[in-house]
Amino acid sequence: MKILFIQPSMGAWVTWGNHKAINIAHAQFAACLREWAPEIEIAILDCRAMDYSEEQMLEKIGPIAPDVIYFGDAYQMTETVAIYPRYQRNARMIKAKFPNLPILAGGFYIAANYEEAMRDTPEFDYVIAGEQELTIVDFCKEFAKDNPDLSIVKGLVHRIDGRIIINEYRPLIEDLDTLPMPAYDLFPMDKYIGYTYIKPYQEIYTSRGCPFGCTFCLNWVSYDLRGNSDWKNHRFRSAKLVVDELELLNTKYGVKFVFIFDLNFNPSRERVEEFLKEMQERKLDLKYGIMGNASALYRDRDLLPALRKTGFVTAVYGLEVSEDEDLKTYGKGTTVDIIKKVTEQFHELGILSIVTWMMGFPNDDTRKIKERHAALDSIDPDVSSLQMLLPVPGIPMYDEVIPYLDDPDLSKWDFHQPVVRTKHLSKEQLGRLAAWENREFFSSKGRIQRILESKTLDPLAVSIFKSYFESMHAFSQKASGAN
Amino acid sequence: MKRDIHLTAEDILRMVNMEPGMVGKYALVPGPMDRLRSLLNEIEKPLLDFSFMDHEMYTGCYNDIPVTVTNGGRYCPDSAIMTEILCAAGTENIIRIGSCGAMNENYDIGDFIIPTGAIRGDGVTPHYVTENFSTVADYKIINALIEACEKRGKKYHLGLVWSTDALLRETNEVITKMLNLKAVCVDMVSSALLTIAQVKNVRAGAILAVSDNLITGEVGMIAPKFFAAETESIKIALDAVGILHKAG
Repeated sequence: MKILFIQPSMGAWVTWGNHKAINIAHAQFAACLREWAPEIEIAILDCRAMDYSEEQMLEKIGPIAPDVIYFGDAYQMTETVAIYPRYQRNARMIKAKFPNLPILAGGFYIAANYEEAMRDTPEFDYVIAGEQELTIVDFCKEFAKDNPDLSIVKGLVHRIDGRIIINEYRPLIEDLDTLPMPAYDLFPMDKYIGYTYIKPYQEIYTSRGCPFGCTFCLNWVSYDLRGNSDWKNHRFRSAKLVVDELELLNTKYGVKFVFIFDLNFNPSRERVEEFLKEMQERKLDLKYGIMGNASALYRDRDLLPALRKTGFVTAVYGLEVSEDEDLKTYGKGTTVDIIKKVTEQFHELGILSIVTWMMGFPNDDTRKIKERHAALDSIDPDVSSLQMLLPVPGIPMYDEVIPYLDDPDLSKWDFHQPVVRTKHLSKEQLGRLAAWENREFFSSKGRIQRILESKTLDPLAVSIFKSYFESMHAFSQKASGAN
Repeated sequence: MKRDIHLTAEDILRMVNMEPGMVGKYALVPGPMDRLRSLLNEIEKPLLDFSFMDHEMYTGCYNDIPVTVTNGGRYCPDSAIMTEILCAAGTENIIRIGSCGAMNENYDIGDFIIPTGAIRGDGVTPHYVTENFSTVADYKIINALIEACEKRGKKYHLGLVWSTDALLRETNEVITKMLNLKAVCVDMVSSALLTIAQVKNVRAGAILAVSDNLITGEVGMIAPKFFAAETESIKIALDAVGILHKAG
């Protein structure tokens, strides 16, 4: 039995420029199958990396002759919810040409909205609820049998006589150290490019979940909501295994930059210390970035200079809103003052600071948004990463935001186009404010000159900034609907 | 080859994503950024309209009257750009808050001058008007500034302001020529601001604090009474806004 993991032809966030990263979930699933179900054949079709059109994708499938196809992404860092209608469209195309070829889907958005996925997409034969590795392995093993009984596969959603059947909840993998190294050897590693300028480029994720569980966070829907806060269950791979992976990427594949895209890399001080020790010992010729929480970055401010020396050149951390009271309400776990202090230290150490923030909350009006911008401006990060609130079913804030939905077309739910209004602003006004903010941020305070002429920022980190800056116009066009 | 203007104020407003109707009916325009910062302290809840090429524009309220403030520029070229932008954005009254060199031996450092019109010695206004054009300040704004000065007990003078581009070429010969044309003071901004506003049918005027005297030779740019006058000029301009608003 052969499973084909397909990454469709797709972009990334528009602010990331020409960005084609590995689907790290696919690499992890492939490794798990190799380890625990070696009888299952694995094939990879990364249309994104290879620049295959959808027609070329269809042509490639025939010769591969898979028994089942898989679509899915671990997190939202490609097109956010807009990947879902893309998977639906590709599934329809595949079924039109290969009507008897089963399709399995999972991951971000589908993991929580599996019933909707099965109901709205008859082309999805099977869907995975929640975390996927063990379900994929069990599914493949069972599916390969002459008389499979798929009802025993925990976490699987399937149909019997047209009825949607949701199998038993699959508990989380508690010990991520049990997962094998991702199967990078199966992927076109020389094709991946990050932020237009960084090649070879890789993304990995070394932990899952986030203890804060902000109410607007989309990553709730990478998990089965029957799990009662699975997203807040923070689990991580040991520092040694993480650095083993970085070493493999660096020495075998010549990767010089890795973004560790854990949604929250640093809740555990102990793990950060272990990671630092491993990196100091291995002395890899590699630069890296992380996503983390500002309070934890501040907690670890004594470690930051040493981390910088090991190649830590950039971090993404969230502001989201500018009132400490609001930060508390949304569960962010930090304050504006801490974010400012972290950013100041990053300036001193030459670490590129990328601060995310949001607009589109129900109470947002022009004043609130401009004050949020003023706060961000005074914090003075190197990059402002503005995101539009999305009312995704499954996030804690859903009930509060859904009454303000203006555009149900999921292909526009890409973090950059406004799809909600607020009590005070239409979605068009929100989009124009986003375009306004984007220009204001990047054209003021001499930021561009400061960063491009910096003698302390790593050149690879500066490339990331360049990608954001060069994508500024495209972002503004998208946000304001001026396409 | 005949073609339209390459870049207009409307183009700039689009570029900076300025929403229509965002500016106040009254705009106060100090020249340099530090004077804008002082003015902003007097404005309630100012919100940034945009920042562009070392200029910032904010709109807030003064005694519940919507007011837009921006650093118009130190010289005619940048002031011309900002005046055009303000006019295109829809303001109806522009008051410059500036400084000048007096051209009457009886004028003191720290006095105020309210221009009634301008003698154009700059290089920008020939792109807008012919030599015969008379640049005049708006009489309603003049009267409001007079009333504001009198209420505050401040010494003021009326007359023509001569605007030059060549600060360091104010020779005796040039000054004599301007005196013959009835100039009472010199600056480097007003002719552009007043001319362009007039061409665009927007009311405009100015309140200028005397920083030095070309006739007596006194230089007061770092004199305490000049700084005091700068601070006072902001208050005079704000009072004038109140007076204009009340008059309707």
